[in-house]
Formats: sequence, structure tokens, C-alpha cells
Amino acid sequence: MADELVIKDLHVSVEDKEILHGINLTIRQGEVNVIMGPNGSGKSTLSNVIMGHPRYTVTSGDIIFKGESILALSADRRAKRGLFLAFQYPYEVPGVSAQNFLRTALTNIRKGDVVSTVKPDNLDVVGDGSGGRKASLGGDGANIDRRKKESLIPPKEFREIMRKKLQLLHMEEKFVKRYLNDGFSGGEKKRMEILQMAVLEPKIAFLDEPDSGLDIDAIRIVGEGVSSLISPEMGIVVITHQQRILNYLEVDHVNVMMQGLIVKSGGRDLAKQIEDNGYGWIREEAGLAVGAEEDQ
Amino acid sequence: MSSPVAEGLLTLEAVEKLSAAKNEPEWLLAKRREAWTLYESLPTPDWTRGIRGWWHSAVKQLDVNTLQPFTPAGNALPELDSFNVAEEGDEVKMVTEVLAGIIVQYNSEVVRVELSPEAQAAGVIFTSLDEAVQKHPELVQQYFMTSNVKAEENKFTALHAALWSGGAFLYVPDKVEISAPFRVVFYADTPQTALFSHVIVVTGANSKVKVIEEQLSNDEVGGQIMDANIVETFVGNYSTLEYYNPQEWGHNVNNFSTKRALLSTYSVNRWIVALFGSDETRLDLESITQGEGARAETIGAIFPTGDQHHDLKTTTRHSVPHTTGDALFKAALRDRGQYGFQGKIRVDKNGKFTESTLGDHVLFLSEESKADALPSLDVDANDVRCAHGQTIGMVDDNQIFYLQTRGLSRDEAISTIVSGFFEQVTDRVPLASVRERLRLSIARKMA
Repeated sequence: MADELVIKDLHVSVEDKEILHGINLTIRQGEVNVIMGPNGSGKSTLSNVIMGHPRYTVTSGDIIFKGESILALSADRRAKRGLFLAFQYPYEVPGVSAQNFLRTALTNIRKGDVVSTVKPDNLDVVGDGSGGRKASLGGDGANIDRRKKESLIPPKEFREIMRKKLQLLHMEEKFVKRYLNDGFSGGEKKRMEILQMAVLEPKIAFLDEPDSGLDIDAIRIVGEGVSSLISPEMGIVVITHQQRILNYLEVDHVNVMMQGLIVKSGGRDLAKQIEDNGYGWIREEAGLAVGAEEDQ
Repeated sequence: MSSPVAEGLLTLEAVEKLSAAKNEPEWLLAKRREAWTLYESLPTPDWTRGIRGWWHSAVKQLDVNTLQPFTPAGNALPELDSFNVAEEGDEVKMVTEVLAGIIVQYNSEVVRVELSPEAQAAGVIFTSLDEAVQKHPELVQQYFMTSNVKAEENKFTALHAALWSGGAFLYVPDKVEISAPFRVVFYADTPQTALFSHVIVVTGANSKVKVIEEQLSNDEVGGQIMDANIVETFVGNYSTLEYYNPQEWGHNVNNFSTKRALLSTYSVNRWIVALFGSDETRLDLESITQGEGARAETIGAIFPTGDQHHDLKTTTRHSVPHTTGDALFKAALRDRGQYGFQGKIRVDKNGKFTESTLGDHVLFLSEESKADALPSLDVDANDVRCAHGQTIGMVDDNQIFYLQTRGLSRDEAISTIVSGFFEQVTDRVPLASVRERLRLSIARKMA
């Protein structure tokens, strides 16, 4: 049976201000979902909350993935269970090679969410942490590193995975030899997100405006890339303002968010209607005040 | 060397007994006595109070009067020959660095001196400083604490000049290029040891060498160890010296270190330093360009964790026209770690057409850590291009979240961000074994 992500009557606050007012949504593996809506309607918030961003507080409701609530889990444990978020604005991590990072990430994701290996979210784990080099400068340090390296996915296997995924997305190898997103153009960052998704093979992936700020050619590259990754094992949620990227995808469901609520659901046609007529008619239908989104 | 004699606390008598035991020439004894007088008259500096007196943390006081002026070598020297690691492709390997020579000082005594046949044939002198006094007195008299670091600079340089022992002396003749590094290791394992480790490097014209200086101690013995250390380099015309100092003293060491390079015409001196160890370190790191076309490069990685305190004063001084400098420091602070940085580009009146940069970047990993950073330009010449840049910030929660969404735990995410932060420094370390070792040490300090 396909895995499901069920969002139940989800209320979310930031600094005591409620911004999601009871979201209900079910995402299934193998389906393409679209969330549309004006700026400030809570789309990005929703995807961040699902990934477990610590800035947001879930005040009521639940997020259930594969039959279990994930609300108490940190972002990394949610990722290990198969959730993914392609960021609207991916962060730069200078000095960290994209390739090495991805190897560690894939190793962790493949291990899955094994509770016994999860460390407390606390910096001070052992001793006073100052780590001065002790008398034995023999092998112990090197051995620690050796163990760490050996527990990673073998280099040959990883290289092969990278080669395939890069090929699939028509990307060059030099791309992953650079530091993660460091000095990347907007389009390169978006493609790097899609590459990460391709390598990590999540069960449910949220793509937060994968098309924003991109020119037509770049949207095609990203759209075709995403399309090539969709499988019965991967469900995606595309958050977008634009209809264009949807041309590359077999859309199953379209949901419209406004003012922290899902106000309308439909099929592929709904996206077209919005492209033609804007959001005004939906707002009226839902009986919402004009422009309230901008406050958020 | 023969057995220790200068027993008891730090006194003039101890100075004289030490010199006598080493059969030192009269000029050296006179120099030691003179330094002792300076030591007694100079004030105890209050460096460890923070540069501008901002810090209120009680810094552990070092009681110099409980320290032994000479501590013989013990018999528990750790394995030193295969600590290096290098990454080849994706395999991590233990690498035994091919060395041009090695000197090991254990407490106050040099216990091992080796020089490769190639270096020997090239006329390189690589001995303990004690031995150099006997075999090459004219060279020691010329270079030892004369035109470079001077006894009168502060209380610890004076004490050092009065009580130094062991040490390393490297003299490279003209036109000798050796790619394998010379390695100098200082090791201490006895409580209440006062160490005065000294390194002198003299490179002849058109020569090219590398030196790795290391400090290690057994910190399970308790007590305090003081290392008042001095490094003097004299970089000859058109020569290049790469000087590596991954300092990893144990937690029982208070370290007062002065390192200075004098650069001749078209020479290059590269300081590559890491402050990772010790309880407290005060490093005074300087490069002075004295010949036209000289280039002074400095890179530093600083990482106080636990209750460590790392103070760094660094100057690139341009005293003649047409010289260049490039200094970059990166410091991460964890737990209650403290970092003081006073960085300066100094251009003397005669230093026209200087081009020099200074960068200092600080990353806080905890709320309790403290840093005080003060970069400055002090320029007395026209037609110069000097710049300094500084950044200070906490590790970014958004970056952490981003990496966590890819399956890295919070600890792994922070560790990844920190190693990336240091990478701009580690990536510039030319010698692969030291580069890998720094990466490993950073990872260990994050563990």
C-alpha cells in the first residue's frame, strides 16, 4: 500500500500569532499535488512545518506519516522517514562540498530513522569538549576517522548513483564538486535541490516554488527533471504561483490556499482557471476579505 | 645532554647552574644573566583579561613561582612516526610523512635528532639549539634573540632568554630546496614544568624549506605546565619558508608564544598556525618585510572549546617599499571558549607601494563563548593598498535546519557547517598531511 502523509486540522503559530488555521490534506505516494495561492497565504509555512522547522509551533492538529504522528520528530528524523523539502531559497553552506555532503546525507537517509542512533539535540555530549590532543598521538584519531569513512556508502557505489542522477537531470559533474550552493545562481540552486531529491529518493517531497525566479528554459529543465523523478514510490507537492511548470507534470490534485486555509480543491483544470482568472473568484466564493494575505 | 642540575624554583642561581651544566660559553651566560635582570624588572602583563578588559570571566592564574626551571625527559614518549593521515580518493590512510629531519624535545631535553642523508649532503644544519651553541656558536650568537625576538619585549621573553633549554636550530644553505618537511616536536608530561622551547630557522638565498612545529602534552598528570615559546625565522633573499604550527597542547598547558619572521628581498614566509590546544594561549605572531618584493602570508585556524582561551596578536609589518602581505584567520568558539584577536597591518614610512590584506572571521557556536576582535591598519606611507575585513556571527539556524532536512542530525549539521567554515583556511594549507590533520582535529573538537 502506498504511504500517506495525512495533515489533520493543523493549526500553527509563530510568536503567538496563528498563521495556519486548520489545514486538512492527504498526500499519497505516486501522486502529483499542487498547492497554489497568493503570497502570504501560508504555503511555505505549511511545507516548513511538515519538515519540522523549529520556528513554528503546532498548536493543535496532527501530521501523520505512515500511520504515525511525526510532530515530535526533529527535521532529520522526518527526512530519514522519507520526507523532503526543496527550499524556495536554499541556503549556502560554504566550504562543504556538495558531493561529500550528499554522500553523508544519503548514508543517513538509507539507515532510516533508527531511534538508538539518534543523539540528543545538544552540543555538549562528551567531556568538556576542548579536545586537546592527548599523549597518544598514535592512531586513535585516524582510526576514528577511518571508522566514520567506512560507515559511509562505499565510494564506488556512490559515484555510480551520482553519475546516474546527474545524467537523468542533464547536469554536469563539476556541479557537485563545488561547495553546496555557494555562489550558485538562482537556477543552479533550484537544480541542486532537485538533484538532492533525486539522490535521496524521498517518499513524499515538497517543492517550494521550484520555478520562482527562473527563466523559461530553466523552468523547463527543472520541470522535466522533477517529472523524470516521479514514480509510484514518490509523491510530490509542488507549491507554485505559475501554471507553466505544471505543463511538465501529470497533476492529480490542485489545492488553493488563502489566509492559512485550504479554500478550494480540484484537478488540473483548477490551475488553468486560476491562470486565466486569478484568485479573486475563489476568494469571493470562500467569503474571504480582500488582501488579508499581505499582512502575513 | 647530561642530567639536570638547575633544580628548585626560578632563580638567578637556577639560571647560572643551568648554563654551567650545559658548559655554555661566557657570552651566553652573560646573556642569560642580563635576561634574568630584565625578567625581574618587567611587569607581569595582564593579557588574559581580554583586549579591552571586557571579559569578567575569572581566568586561571599561572603561579610562575611553583614551576621547575628544568625538567628532565621521562621515559613515556608517545609514538610519533605515523600520526599523519591523508585522503587518497575516498580512502583514509595513515601516512608516515617522509621527513627531511626530526627533532623531539621531551620536557626540557632534546631526546631525538635525525637528519636525512640528502639534507646532510646539502649542508643543512639541523640540531638542538643546545648543540648548535657548542658546534656553531657564531651562528647562534648571530641569530639567537638579537635582531628578531628580543629578551626585553616582555616578562616571558625575558624569562625565556634566561632559562631556555633544548630547542631546534635549522640552517639551510643557499640554493637548497627540500620538499620534505623538517619536524620539531615538543612534548611535556610532568606537572609544574616550565618549558622554554625555542626554534630558529635561517634560510639561505634561493632556498626552499618547510618546517612543522608541534606541541603535545600528557594532560592526565595534572598540575600546570608553562610553555614560554619563541620562534625566530630569518628568510633569506629569494627563499621560501613554510612554517606550520598545529598547536595541540593538552589542557594543562599555559602557552605564551612569540613567533616572528624577518623577510629579506623577494622572500616568502608562510605562517600556517592552528590554535587548538592548551588551557590558555597567548600567541604573538608577526612578519616583518625587510627586503623589497618580500611576501608575508599568514593563515590561522583558532578553535577554543571547553574553557580554553586563545589570545592572538598578529602583525604584518611592511618596512620597505614594494612588499605584500596576506593574512587570514578563522576562529570558531564553542562551550565557554574565548578568543581575543588583535590584528594589524603596519606600514612604516618607508613602506611605499605596500599591498596587504587582513581577514578575521569569527563563528560562535554557543551563547557562553566570547570573542573580542580588533583589526587595525596603521599606515605611515603613501601609495599603499591595504584592506581588512571582519565577520562575526552565530552559526545560522536556517543553515542547520537546511542540513537537517537532508537527514543530518543537529550535531552533524553544526559539525558540517564548522568544518566548512574552516575549509577556507584548511584548503589553503599546502602540505597535505598537515591539512588532513587540521581537518581531523577540527572534527575531533566538534565530536
